[in-house]
Amino acid sequence: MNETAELGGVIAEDLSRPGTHVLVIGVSRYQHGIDADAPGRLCVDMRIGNLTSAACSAATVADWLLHRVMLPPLPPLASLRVLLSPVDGELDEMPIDARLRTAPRATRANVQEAMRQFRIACESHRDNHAVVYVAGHGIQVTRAGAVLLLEDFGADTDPMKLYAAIDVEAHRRGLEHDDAARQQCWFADICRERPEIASKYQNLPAGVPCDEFVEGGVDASPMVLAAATGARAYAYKNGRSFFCEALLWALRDGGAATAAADSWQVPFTALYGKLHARVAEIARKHGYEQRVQLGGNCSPGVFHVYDGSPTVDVTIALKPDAAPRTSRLRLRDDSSVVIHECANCWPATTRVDAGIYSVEVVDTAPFANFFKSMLFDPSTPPYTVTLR
Amino acid sequence: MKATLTVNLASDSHLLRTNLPIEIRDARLRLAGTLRGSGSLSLDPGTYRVSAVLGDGREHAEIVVIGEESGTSLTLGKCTVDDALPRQTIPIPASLEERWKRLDPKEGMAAEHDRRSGWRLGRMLRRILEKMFETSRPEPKAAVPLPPPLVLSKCVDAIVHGSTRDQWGFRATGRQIGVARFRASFSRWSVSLPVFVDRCDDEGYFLFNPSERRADAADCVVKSDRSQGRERPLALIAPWRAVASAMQHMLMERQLTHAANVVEAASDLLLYKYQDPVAAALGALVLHRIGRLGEHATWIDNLARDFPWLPDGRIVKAALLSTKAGDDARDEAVELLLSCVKARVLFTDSYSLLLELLRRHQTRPRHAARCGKALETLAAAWPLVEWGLPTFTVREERWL
Repeated sequence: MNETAELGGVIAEDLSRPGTHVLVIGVSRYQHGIDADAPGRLCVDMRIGNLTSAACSAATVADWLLHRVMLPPLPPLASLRVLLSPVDGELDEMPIDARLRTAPRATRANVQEAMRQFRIACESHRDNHAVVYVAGHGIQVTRAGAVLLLEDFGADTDPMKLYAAIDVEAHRRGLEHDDAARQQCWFADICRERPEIASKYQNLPAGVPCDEFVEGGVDASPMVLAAATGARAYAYKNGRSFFCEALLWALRDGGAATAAADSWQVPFTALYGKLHARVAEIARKHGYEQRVQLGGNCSPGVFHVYDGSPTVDVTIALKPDAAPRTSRLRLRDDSSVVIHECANCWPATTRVDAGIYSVEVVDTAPFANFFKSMLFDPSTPPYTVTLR
Repeated sequence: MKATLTVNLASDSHLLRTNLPIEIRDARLRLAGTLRGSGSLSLDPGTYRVSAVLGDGREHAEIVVIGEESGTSLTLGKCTVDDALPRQTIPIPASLEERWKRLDPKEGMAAEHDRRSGWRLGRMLRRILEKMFETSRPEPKAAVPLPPPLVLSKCVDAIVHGSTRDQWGFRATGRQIGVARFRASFSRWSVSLPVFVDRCDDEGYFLFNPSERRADAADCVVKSDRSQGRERPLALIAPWRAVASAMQHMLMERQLTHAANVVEAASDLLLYKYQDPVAAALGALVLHRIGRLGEHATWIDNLARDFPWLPDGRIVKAALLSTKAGDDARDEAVELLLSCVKARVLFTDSYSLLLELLRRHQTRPRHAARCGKALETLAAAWPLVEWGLPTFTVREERWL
C-alpha cells in the first residue's frame, strides 16, 4: 500500500501490482464566478457562473467506477481519486457512496497534487489502466482537447489568466509514454465557453503544469469530449449532464456491450459509437444539438467487461389501430423455445437476454400473421409490429 | 452438419469489397466468424447476424437463418453515398474530353509547367460551363421558387463540375487546394475542397490525365448540411475515390478503427504510390489518431516534402517529430508548423492538430514567442471555424 497521504483517495491505493487508477474531477461551484459576492473580472468577462450538474455528474460516474466489478482482462481497481466542488445541496439527494460526499474540493492546489499522485500511480506498472473523467466549465481550443476551469478560477490576484485551470489534453499527452499505464481513457464533460470568448484564451497555457514532451506511447489513450469544439454540452437542470447520462447507459446499462469470444465487453470503438449516437439522441429529444467528439490515441482497447449477457427491456407495439387486440405475441429463441408469450397485452413488454429472437404475432385475422427474426440488444428502441 | 454462408459486399471498389471486415454473430451475439471482404465460411445451422461497416461509414447488418440443406448467400448493404451525390448536369464537351484523352504525359507536363496556359485552360473550361449554364437554364415558372439554402458565390483553384439546387460538384484545376465560397441568409463560408490532384512524376511534373478518373464525376461535392440545426456547406470526397470517400465517411461516423483498416488495406496505393495525395493526407491523419504514425515515418516525410501545396502533410510530420527526443526534431517540427500558419489547410483535423502542436511547443521557452505569435494569428479564425465539418470551413463574416 502507498504510505503517502492520498488527496481525494476514496479507497486505499495499491501500487504493488497492476491496477486500474481513476481520477474524477467535477466543478460546479466557482468561487469567483458571477454568482459570488465579489466576482472576479475574468469570470465576469467570460460569464463563468455556478453550474448545477458538473459535480453531480462526476460523483455519479465515480460511484459507478467505485462499485463496478472488474473482470479479466481488466486489472482491479487500485486507486480512485475524486475531487468535487458541488454547489450547496447538489449532492444531498444523490444515491452515491458516502465516501464520495467528503471528497476534497477541486481547487488548483488540490488538482495539481491529485494529478501528481495520479501520474505516479499510473507510472507504477506498465500494465496499469487509467480512467479520467472531468466535468465543469471549460474552453475547448482544438478538436482534441479541452481546458477545465477549477473552483478558484478567475481570482483577480492570479498571476496568469488560466492559473486555476488544467489543460486535460496536455496531461493526457504527458501520460502517453513507455512507462505509463498501457491503456487509458479520458472523458471531458465540459460545458464549453462561447467561441468568441474562448478564442481570447486559446493561446494561453493552463496553470496546472505538465511535462508534455515525453517519448514513447501507450496502447490506447482516447479523449472523449462531450461536445464538438465551439458547441455547448448540455445538462438537466439540477441533474446530470447529457453526456454523463449517455455514459452510464453505455456502461452500467450495457448500451455499448458487445459480445466477445467468452464474455460481453465494452470495446472503445463501441463506446465512441454508442456515446455519439446516444448523446445526439438525448439532446435532440430536448431540442438541442450535441455531438460527442473524439481525440487522443484511439487504438482498440476494452473499457469494461460484464459477468453475463446484458438483459434488454423489450417493448413491442401493434399497428394499425384496427389490428385485433387479442392477437398473440410469441418470442422464440434460437432453439425455437418460446421464452415469452402473451395475448391481449399490447404494447407487450418483457425482459430478455440480448440476442436474436423470432417474433411471432398470430391470431391476427383479418390481418396476416407476422413472423420476423429480430435483434434485441440494449440499444434496441421500442419496436412496432405493423400487420398487413 | 455445416452449411456455407456466402457474403458479398455491395461496393464499386474492388479494394473495399475485398478488404472490409465482416462480422458474423450467432443468436446469442457471440462472434461466430469473420471475413475479410466478400467470401464464404462454414457455419452450424442457426440464426446469425452478419454486419460490416461499409464505405458510407455506417454499419450494415442482416439477420440470416442458415438451414441444413444448402448454402445461403446474402449481399450486405447498398452503399448510399453514390445516390446522395449529384450527377454531372452539364456534360463536358466531347471536343474537350477528346483533347484531354489525347494529352500525353509530355503535353500534360507542358500544360502544367506553363502555369499561364493551365490557367487559360481552366478559364476556357469555366466559360464553356457558364455558357452551358445559361443556355440550359429552365424557363421561369409563374410560382416563385424557394431560394436555395446555399448559393455558390465564388470558386478559386477549382471548377464547378455539375450542380443541382443545393449540391455542387468540383474538379481540380491544378496542384492547389480549391476553395469555394458559399453564402446563405445570414452567413457565408469558405470551404476547402478535397479535389483530386494527380501525383507528380519522377521529374516533378504534374501528370494531368483526367481520362484516368471517372469521366462523368466530380472530384468532390459540396452539399447543404442541416445536421447542426442550421445550413452549412459540407464538402465530401466523391465516391469514385472509394478509399478516400470511405475514410472520410468512417471518420464522420466515429468509426476510427474501420478507417484505419481501410488505410492499412490501401497502404500500397495510398501511402507509397501517391495515387491520391488528398486521400494520403487523410490516411495520415487517421494513423495519427490511432497512434500509428511512427510505423510510416518515411512515407510521412515524403508526404510533407512532395506536396508543398498540401500543408496537412507538413502538420502530420510535425506531429511525428514532436514525439521525438532532442531539440533538432522539435525545432524542425516548429518550423513546419510555422510554415502552415498562413496556408490554407484541407482538413479540419489538420487545423486542430496545428493549434494543438503550437500550444504544446509554446510551453518551451525557445519557441514560446514564435508559437505564441502564430497562435494569435490563428486565434482570429478560431471562433469562425466549423469544427463539426470534415474539411476546413470558415464562416467569413456576417452576411446581411
